[in-house]
Amino acid sequence: MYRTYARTAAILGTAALALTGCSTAGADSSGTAEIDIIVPIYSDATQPFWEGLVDDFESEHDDIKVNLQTIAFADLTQEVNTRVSTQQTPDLLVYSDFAALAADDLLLPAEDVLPAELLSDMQPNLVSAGEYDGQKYGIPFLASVRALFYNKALFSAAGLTEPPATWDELIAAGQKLVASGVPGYGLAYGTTELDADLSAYMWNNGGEWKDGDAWTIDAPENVEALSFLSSLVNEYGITQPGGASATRNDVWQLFGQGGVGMVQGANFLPTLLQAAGSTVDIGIAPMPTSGDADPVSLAVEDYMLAFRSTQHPEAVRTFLSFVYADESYSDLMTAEGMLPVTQSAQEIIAERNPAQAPFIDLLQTAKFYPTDDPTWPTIRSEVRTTLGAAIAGTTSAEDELASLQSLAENR
Amino acid sequence: MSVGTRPRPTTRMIASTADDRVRAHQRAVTRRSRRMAVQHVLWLGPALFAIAAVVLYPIVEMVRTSFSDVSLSGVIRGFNGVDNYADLFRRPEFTAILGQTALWVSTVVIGTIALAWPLALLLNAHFPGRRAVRYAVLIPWATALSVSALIFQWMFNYTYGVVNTTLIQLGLIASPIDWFGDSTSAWTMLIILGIFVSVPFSTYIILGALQSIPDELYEAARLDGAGPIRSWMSITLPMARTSTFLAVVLNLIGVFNSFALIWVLTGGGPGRSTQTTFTFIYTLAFGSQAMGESAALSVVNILLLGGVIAIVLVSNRKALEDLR
Repeated sequence: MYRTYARTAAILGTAALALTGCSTAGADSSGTAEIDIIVPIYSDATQPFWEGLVDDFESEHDDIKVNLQTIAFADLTQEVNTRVSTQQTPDLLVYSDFAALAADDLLLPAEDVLPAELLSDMQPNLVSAGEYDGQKYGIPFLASVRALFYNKALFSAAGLTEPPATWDELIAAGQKLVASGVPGYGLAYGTTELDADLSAYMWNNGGEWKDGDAWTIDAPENVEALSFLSSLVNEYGITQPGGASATRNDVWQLFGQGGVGMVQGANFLPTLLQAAGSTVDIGIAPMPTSGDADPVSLAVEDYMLAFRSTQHPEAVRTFLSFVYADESYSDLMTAEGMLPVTQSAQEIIAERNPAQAPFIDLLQTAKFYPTDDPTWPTIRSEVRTTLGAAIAGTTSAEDELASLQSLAENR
Repeated sequence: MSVGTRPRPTTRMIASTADDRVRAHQRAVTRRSRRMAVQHVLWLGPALFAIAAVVLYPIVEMVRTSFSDVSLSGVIRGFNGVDNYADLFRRPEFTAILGQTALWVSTVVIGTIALAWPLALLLNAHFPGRRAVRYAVLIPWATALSVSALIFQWMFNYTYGVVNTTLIQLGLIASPIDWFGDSTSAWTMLIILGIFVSVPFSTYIILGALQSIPDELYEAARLDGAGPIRSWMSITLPMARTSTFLAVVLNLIGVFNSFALIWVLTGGGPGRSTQTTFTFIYTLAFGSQAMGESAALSVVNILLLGGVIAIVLVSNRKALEDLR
């Protein structure tokens, strides 16, 4: 009997120890400032680079400890949401959807955590894309930009000398490529990044997601753009087959294997394709326009967010100055294949890697998703789910955009 | 002193001693059972605590969230009554997703049991290499669902999939088939994979029952002149009825709550056509960032599953009693 009691006590004791053991982490001793940062994994380079960066920083600043958490993109939203609802926000987070966090007053504006000269070195359109309610809550961290990628060898085999500059030329080029035996334009319309395709075509047709504070998703220019994408599939037949279940990566992969003439690519695509062994000779051009507008490129920006919950704003400021220091920041951007947001780092990258120079030029005039609207992630999710049917031609472009518009208005 | 002088115990005395003894015994029993109770609590404590922490508390939180106004970023702003439920039921896609869930659960569960039975009968028969076949049947069950789904996806990939390339090389089709390109074929693919991964477990449950049927019963039946069909109807089926019922219930729960399979294979697409209520919980929470509605759907989901299981239980009272 005693033995069983003793055993029970031992088990309970162990359980109690295990439980209390969990609660000792995060304690702040001996005046060291601890800051937590969450970084999504962009590539295989992310984790080792940041670990090295944190080590270097900590050896220079022994009064600051940086807890780095790298996380897969697939789990990022979930992690952020959980941390917000359990009031365990980190000090810093690299993230794109900053507006909902800013709307809940969870973020610190850039001026509070960034030295003035660093802020003024940042590219102005990238800074203003991160504004919410007149405050710079989204601190630019990195950007990527989209452009028309074409396969030079397939183009010359089809008798094409120039990339298409207009929609009509896109169709003509596509038809020539098809006649030469390859699909003309790669378009994925499964559950995938359709917001990128619609943006590129609506903006190059004079359309917008929003006009001021009002959503304009169902504007005629946008309906035209979506119908145009659908016509590439159904009327002109210049897209690759199997698009209805394809994702962005499928068409990029196909392009890398020389299986399609043109595709909307991104500045980081060449690095990806080369890593996969692709030898395609890539030409890069602005996205074609309907003829009524100047060419516009889509830029995607990720922000460095500083949370109001931080206990150590000074340590955060010190760490950010270190992160954005030209040398290591340029190295990080090179490793990730992304574009830097500071003008000084852009100069370094353009010199170091001439292939990125045209993208840095495109970035100066590029446009962004309406990420400064808290409801954008909701709209984006709906765009990705529903617009494929309109491109496949099973539903009408007008109806799909009208229901998106009403969703946006009622959020 | 003779023996006879010793006072003889009166009935009363006997009764009182007996009473005392009974009482003493009862006290001892009570003491022991109290001690046992304390011990039970001590033994069960950690488990109960764990259940409360990882099952009950999340459920309480989920129900609370479903009645809360949750901001897009996840901040809980307070009670908002049944608004989340109203928003959820008002969604134009909600009815379709309920229908899709019913389709998914019913086809996979029925298909699984329909395949598991003959397979169990086969594995119960004596034939050379039976052990190898028994192990082989287990493989789809032992493999992680997301891995099975990924392999399946690659096999049926439009451009590179082994299925399309083989069919083309055999000259059976001229151009590749987009297996996940429309809702009908996407569902077909999902249901086939769903049955494929569910069959092993159900087969083994039924096989377990078949193995416990004594051979004497069949011998007796044979002596009574029963053929194979008659003995299957009168012995095998009734003896394995409880296990089959168990397989149905466990499958219902598993299939209703399957996420990885659908998410990896179709992502709920094309469009929303292969979403079930379970995958839609995830889409609402982390796609639409509608955490309150997502919690409301989680509650609805539990009620739905509970309801379906209750119906199955009530309609199978007999099997239920055998389980006790």
